[in-house]
Amino acid sequence: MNVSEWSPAQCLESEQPRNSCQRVLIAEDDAMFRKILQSWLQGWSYQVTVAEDGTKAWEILQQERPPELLILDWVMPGVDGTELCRRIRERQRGPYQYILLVTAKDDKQDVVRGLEAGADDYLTKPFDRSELRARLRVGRRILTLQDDLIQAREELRFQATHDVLTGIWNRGALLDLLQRELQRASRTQASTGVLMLDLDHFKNINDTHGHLTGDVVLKEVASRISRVVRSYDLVGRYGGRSF
Amino acid sequence: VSKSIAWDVAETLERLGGDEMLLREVLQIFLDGTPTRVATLRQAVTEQKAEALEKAAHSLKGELGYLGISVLSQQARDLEEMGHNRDLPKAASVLAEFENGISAVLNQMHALQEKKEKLDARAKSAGAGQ
Repeated sequence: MNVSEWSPAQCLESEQPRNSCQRVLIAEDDAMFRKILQSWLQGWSYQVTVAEDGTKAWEILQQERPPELLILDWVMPGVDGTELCRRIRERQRGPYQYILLVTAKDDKQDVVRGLEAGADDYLTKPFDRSELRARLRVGRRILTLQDDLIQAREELRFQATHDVLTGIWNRGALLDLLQRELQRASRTQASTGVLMLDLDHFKNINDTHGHLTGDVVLKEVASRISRVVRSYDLVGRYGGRSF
Repeated sequence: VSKSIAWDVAETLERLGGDEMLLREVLQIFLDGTPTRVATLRQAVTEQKAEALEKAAHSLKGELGYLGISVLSQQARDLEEMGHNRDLPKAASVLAEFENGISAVLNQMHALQEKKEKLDARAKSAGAGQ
């Protein structure tokens, strides 16, 4: 097997499941090109969905988990390639979709308009097999990068608001949340319950058994508190041994 | 058929990645779809319907281009442009030339298809005889 190729197995084996990297939508009204694209892509282990016009393609894109690599023909009855691009880019939510626009060789102006409408790349007809394959790899690389970025951002977001040791809210987040709860309570004239818990003689544990054991105790305390409170209560670490 | 119009099977096969099965399917799709499109062209020229001409010519241009039949693809492109520019006076003469060329190509394709079918049948009966 060609090492530079991704196979479904490799996708599943990678650290993060990247099922998205191989789902492709082909929107093409010409039966011949649809057949060629479908046949090649399936041969390269992509999961292929086909649409014979832009309207159908748009319907498919409304599904729960739509394909993330899109090959759109520029000229199609109903909704054409650029209009599709525009609609896709207008949606703010959901993962990024990589769009490869297919145009006829002589439509240079189309290329510019297509890219401006939100396409990531384009392919000219009659398209070349190895060129298509390479461009799809580029698309997959971008999508993978995007996945990594989102994951990194989520991790950072978590780290910024959570205590590294115990995984519960950190002091900053806790004070923000407390502020919000107090304001909400004052608006509805309700009372707010706040518990401040401090571990007595915690220094003894550190001194006798070492800091690592102290960490274990802190983690255990955090986990026990989290277990006993209601799901909508907020638990955080206020300071060294205060919760 | 002049040589420049003839269809180069080997070249198309290579373009398709050497996939014989795919070549047959592509050929079938082309043979199924082309007569209707040519009829649409003819009707569009007769009735002076520029938009219909542009559309049908666009599809033919693309497919013929992919099959490497560049002379006919170019003619289809000319027709497409005439349709786009709403400039149909010269369309009839281009279309006549195009129709001659396309029927020759279709004949060539049909002949090839028959030959392949015969070969398949022979291979099948040879296989069955063993």
